[in-house]
Amino acid sequence: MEKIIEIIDLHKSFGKNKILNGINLDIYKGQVVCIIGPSGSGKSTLLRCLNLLEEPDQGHIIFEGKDLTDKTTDLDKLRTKMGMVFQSFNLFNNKTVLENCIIAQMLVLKRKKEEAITIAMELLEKVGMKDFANVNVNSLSGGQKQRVAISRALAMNPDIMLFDEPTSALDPEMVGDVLNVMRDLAKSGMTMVVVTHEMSFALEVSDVVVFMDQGQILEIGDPKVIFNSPQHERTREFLKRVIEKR
Amino acid sequence: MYIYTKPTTDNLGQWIKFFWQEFHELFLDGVKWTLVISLSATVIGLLIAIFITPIKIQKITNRDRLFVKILKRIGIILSTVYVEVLRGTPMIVQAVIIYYMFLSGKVDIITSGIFIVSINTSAYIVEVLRGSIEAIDKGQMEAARSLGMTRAQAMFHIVIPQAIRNSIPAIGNEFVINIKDTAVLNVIAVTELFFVTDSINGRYYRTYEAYIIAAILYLIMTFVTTRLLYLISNKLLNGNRNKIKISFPTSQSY
Amino acid sequence: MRRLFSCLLLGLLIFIVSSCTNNNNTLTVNREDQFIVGLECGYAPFNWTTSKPTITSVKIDNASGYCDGYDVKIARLIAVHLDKQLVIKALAWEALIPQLQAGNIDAIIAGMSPTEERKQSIDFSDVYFTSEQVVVVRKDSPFVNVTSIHDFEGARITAQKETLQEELIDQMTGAIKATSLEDYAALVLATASGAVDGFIAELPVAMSVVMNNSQLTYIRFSEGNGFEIDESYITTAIGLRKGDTVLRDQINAVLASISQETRETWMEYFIKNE
Repeated sequence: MEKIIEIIDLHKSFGKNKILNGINLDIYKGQVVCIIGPSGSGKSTLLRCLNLLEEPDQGHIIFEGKDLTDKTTDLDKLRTKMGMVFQSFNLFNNKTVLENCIIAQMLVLKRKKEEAITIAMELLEKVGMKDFANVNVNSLSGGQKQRVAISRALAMNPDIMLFDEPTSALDPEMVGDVLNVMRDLAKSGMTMVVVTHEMSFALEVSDVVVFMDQGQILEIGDPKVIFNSPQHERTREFLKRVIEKR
Repeated sequence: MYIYTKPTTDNLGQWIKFFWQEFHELFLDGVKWTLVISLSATVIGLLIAIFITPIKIQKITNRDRLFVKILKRIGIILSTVYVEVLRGTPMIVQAVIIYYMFLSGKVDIITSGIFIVSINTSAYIVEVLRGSIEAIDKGQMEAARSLGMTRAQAMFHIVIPQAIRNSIPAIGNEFVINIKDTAVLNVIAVTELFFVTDSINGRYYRTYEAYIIAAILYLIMTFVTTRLLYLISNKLLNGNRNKIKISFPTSQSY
Repeated sequence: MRRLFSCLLLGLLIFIVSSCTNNNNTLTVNREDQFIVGLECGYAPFNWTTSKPTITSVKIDNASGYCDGYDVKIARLIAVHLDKQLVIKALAWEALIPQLQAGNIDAIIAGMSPTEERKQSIDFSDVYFTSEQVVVVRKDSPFVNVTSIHDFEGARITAQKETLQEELIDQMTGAIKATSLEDYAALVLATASGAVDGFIAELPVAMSVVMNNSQLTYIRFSEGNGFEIDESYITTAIGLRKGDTVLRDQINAVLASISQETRETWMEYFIKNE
């Protein structure tokens, strides 16, 4: 399998707090990687380092053969190949649903407007938001917003999709819709890295589960193995708590 | 000599009535110029500020080449000096210096007045916009950058339009302040309301009447403007359920 | 939203441009054919602003309204003799000399006295009016019956900024020099409200003041009890750019034709008919 991301000895601190303490991880094309762990373990920080939203203090991130931490790499160009979906959606408030999906296509990928609209509408239909194309994003519900956010990221034809707790801010009724979209996306072969608390999703859909605790990867492996027979004490504790909560 | 009879007593009310009858065209002309200058200066000041604010707040990252870093640093220094000087000196001083050094004889007085108030207003609006931009949720910029947009593209298309919309109450406030501050321009003989009032004073050497009328006119102007702006901003709020985060300008009386 | 904004902007631009160009209404005549005079238009009876034209008034070029008064009459006379179009510009007192030096006006006819200090920056024509300096006080002031300038012990006296009257206060023994004020309306206000006890003014101006403010009066001083001033200080002359001798000679020729009697008659007329 082709390696798409290679994370080498990543370290990151915020002030005095060491958040990432030597992360090493390889992600292969077509894989769905779910990152789980307690709050403060560094999951989101790790994800945000992948597209350099956070700048690591130490270490390297090799994406499709290019070192992102190198100052000379054209970051903007590479970011078009990494779509990101945020916990708080981050849709552009001053634009409609359709505009959200086409603006980056036109500005960054330099596509013509008609082409961008066609691509956007196709994606919006897939997530069930085609009828909302000309609606201002502020009138949408959380679940609707997240689906639009996914379309927006997909419109750039990324090679990998990064999800930062995509359903954590949603009402329970809407979580299912978004997870369905993500499931379909995984089935279509998209490489995905998902930070999530949705354990059933992680168990069902992912190829690899990564358990993080206190800035380090404690366990990594097949979801069934991790969930049914975790090796570390911390992993067991965490899973027990999470599963009990349900 | 005059159509209206001059009061023979010292009755303030009669004199005010007389002054209005005798001079109302002059007063209203002063009102017109006050409004023209303050309105155009606020709009032009906003346009200048939209141009200067991104220069002032740009970030120098360690990914920039040295040449770019130097350019950015120069831009930041120049724009900061511009804002600090214009906010840190009284507009009356700016008016005299700028007019007599650069504009007198070359540019007509009303345009000079608009120019002076414009650049002064722009400095204050830069700070207002800066505050609004910083108040915009960081997620907007993050989403734009993660899509591959450059910081400039994100600013221009996403952040700044929202910041401007949020700043409209504060900018409207600038307009109201300008209505009163244009009085300062009388020292370079701009024929706005205060200058007109002063001229009228020298007719009968009675001060209260002219100034009272002027005060009432200023009050009417600011009151009407404030109400209108309130209506406009309400309409904007209703049409767009975006929460408007209001940033207030600092006081700028001279 | 965007369309509304750009419409507003366009409308505003059109409005500004039309307003600005409206302001210059004398550009049909060449600059060489214009005689541009600067005055305060706020110093009755020498010059004041009025909203309706009279037989003696001239339209103000840079503001609305008409300028009227003794100075305007002189200006008109000179313009006729020079065969040029008279353009009146209303300016603040402090702006008169800078504007003259900058070339934006050709002459200052504003009840200005040809003091030594001013002569360092500008030239002056011959005198076009001679007057007396008096002190304006409230009718109920303790100083109302004095006869000499030395009787003002403890009085707070003020004058207009940057005028010779400021210096004259020093001659009033025992008087306290109060801060000079912006213009004559301010002096009237200060005196009428009791902030100061009085101010020094030229006789015609004092007469105008007293005519309209019944609680004020003025004190004249007989020979020997009045101010000791240089002849030049009780006169008013026309301010001209340094070295503008041609214009000065032309103006002096015109002024020479106006006798002292005529001058006094005219001044009386303007005082009475404000």
